[in-house]
Amino acid sequence: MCACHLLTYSRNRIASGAMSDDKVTTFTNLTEADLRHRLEDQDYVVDEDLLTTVLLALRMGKPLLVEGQPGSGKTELGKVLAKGFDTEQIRLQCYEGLTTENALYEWNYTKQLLSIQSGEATVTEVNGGSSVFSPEYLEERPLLRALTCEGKYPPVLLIDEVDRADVEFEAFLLELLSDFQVTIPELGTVRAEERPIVIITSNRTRGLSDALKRRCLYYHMEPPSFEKEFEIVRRKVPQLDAAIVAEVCAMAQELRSEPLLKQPGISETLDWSRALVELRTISDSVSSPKENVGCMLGAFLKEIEDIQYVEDELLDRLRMVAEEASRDFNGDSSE
Amino acid sequence: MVTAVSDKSVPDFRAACTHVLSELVLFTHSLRGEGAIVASNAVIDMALATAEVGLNNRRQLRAALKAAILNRHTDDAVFEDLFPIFWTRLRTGLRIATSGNDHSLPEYPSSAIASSDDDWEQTSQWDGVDRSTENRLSKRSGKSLQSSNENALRDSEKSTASFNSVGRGGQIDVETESVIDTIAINRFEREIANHSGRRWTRTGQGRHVALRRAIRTSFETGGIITSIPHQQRKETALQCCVLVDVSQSMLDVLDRTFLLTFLDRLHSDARSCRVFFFDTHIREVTKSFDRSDGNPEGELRNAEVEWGGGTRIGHALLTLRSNFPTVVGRRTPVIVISDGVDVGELEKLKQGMSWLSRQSSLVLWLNPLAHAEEYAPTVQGMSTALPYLDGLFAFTDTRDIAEIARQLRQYPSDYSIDFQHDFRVR
Repeated sequence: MCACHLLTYSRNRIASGAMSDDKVTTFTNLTEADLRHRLEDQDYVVDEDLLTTVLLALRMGKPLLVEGQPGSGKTELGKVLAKGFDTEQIRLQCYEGLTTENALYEWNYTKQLLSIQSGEATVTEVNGGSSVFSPEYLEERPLLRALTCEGKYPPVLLIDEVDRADVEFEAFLLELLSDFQVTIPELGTVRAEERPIVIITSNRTRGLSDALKRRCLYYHMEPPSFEKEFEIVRRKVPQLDAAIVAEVCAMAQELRSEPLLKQPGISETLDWSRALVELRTISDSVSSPKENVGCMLGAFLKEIEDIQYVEDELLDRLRMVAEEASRDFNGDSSE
Repeated sequence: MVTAVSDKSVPDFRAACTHVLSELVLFTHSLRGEGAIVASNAVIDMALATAEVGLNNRRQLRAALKAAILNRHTDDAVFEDLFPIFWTRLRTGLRIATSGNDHSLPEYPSSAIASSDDDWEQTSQWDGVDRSTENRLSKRSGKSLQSSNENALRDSEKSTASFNSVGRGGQIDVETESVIDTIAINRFEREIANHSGRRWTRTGQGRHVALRRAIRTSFETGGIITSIPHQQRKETALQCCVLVDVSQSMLDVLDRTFLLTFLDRLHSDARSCRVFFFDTHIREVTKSFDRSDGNPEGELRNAEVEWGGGTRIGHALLTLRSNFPTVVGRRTPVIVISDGVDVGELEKLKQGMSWLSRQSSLVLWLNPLAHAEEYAPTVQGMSTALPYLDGLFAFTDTRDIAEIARQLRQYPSDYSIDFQHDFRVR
């Protein structure tokens, strides 16, 4: 290991002793109101419990594990946090077979070979020459990038769908999430100057280890209530009338009470709403979602069995709840 | 470090700090006791979270502790049940530490009382005192259920029947819910409503593969299984049926107040709860639990007077099957409250129990005699019915109800649950 490489890589990032337990100080004075303001500026509707949990994660410097059904806004949370604090978002999409080389770092083998062949560098430093195991040959992957990123605010490291990764990768994450440091054998230990904001999402396709959960704060994303869903759709799809949005949300809530193979999340409701907007640009005769709910099921339901499950009786019920929602909304508006 | 001083105008900060930490530890232990999975270092995280959000805002503290303690959403319900008690204990203890006045603390469900969240929402900010809350606390906290029963009964304007092993029942005040552990009954209702029965429904993500459906679907693709459907246990809203043995042997050992209030709570909280009294005959008394014109205590008294001659459980079940065929459905949990002492034909009992077991989603038998440590279901009726039951439990007070809820929650459908797994007794 070359001392000059360590210095080059950044003196501040090298472990020089025991890991200190200093908390991240950037968010010490962050208030709920400020955080809410930053999230809602990005049109992210956040409820009180989630707001408190995110604030706690920022202040304590602990990762936040968010579980919930697909399409409930878990990944979106990471994105809006990054935009809200105007910091970099580093996303690691987990999948089965994900290795540490894909997630942490990899040596640029091609460049190394070319350098060796051209004589620019050697395997070990000889006569003051450079080594192929220097930082310039290191390709940072998301996790290492999150540790080394600098800025006014720490980056947001979004580890998406960690339940898809292997148990071995999950075990590798433990050291990272505990101490926010990793060891590169050729270069030394790299430690984050400031802990990144870590959001870990899971769709609960498999149970996560207790060791991982112990290192995180936990939040479960419930399916949104009618009011929350209404607010979200109004913000994200402002082109739709409020009464139409009420109908869409009412039908979405009713469908979620059915035993569907894939429970639709808020993203499906947004897809449905955007589809309605497009449909209106195509045909002026379309005025209400309840009139064409049958042909638009594909925007909301994503399994063929679920679409087949929706029969005439259920369609009539959906139209009825949409009618009631529209009536209630118009009644409230007139008051 | 601030040291304790005798001047009561200066708060005892050390005692307050110790109290907060003690309550956090106790809260963690209570959660574990109720079956929640709590990490070993949870208390540290809880303390840090508490330091971040402070003690003034109940909502914030609730959200912060929930994020720090829990790591699966199935424990949410347990947390929500116990948090009001923790909050009350925390605030009351801090008042004690700062004011020096003596207040007793409420205890967690294993021994005493709590109210619903609605009651504690009235608790004001740190410096405010909610008189109704204080009065409740001063009456109830730190006492055993029996003594709190006595206080509640003494304070009630209506006459109530105390537990009486012999003799006739008197006027019973169904409204005296102060003697009942609301949390225990809520949890019991939730567990039998959510209990994954023996039947399956399709789902997108489940631990179990629906093999039959996969094979049926494969016929469309020439025998090739292109997708593997999953299944999970069905979840339904609570619609139950309760069969209550009102024979003299039962009324001699059962707390009638507890029984009627338990039935009343089930009836009011469930989407549908049909209640039947049986002895030598069976009669539906569901309507008497409607508050508008109901008189359940009168029904119980009438049953005691009119019937006699011993219990015929099998006859009652077969009559139920023939006269009320729609009462027990595939989604209906059935609760039988009886001591199992049967003078009817055992063959009829077998037929009745077999039908009940096949037809319903869950059959729970609640036996007041099973509370005894030495109890064994050897009496003829009980031993005949036993193989058809999903669980046999004691039924004397709300602690037994809490125990049933605990076992239903902790053990999956494939495991046997009954009084033998009651760690309190054995």
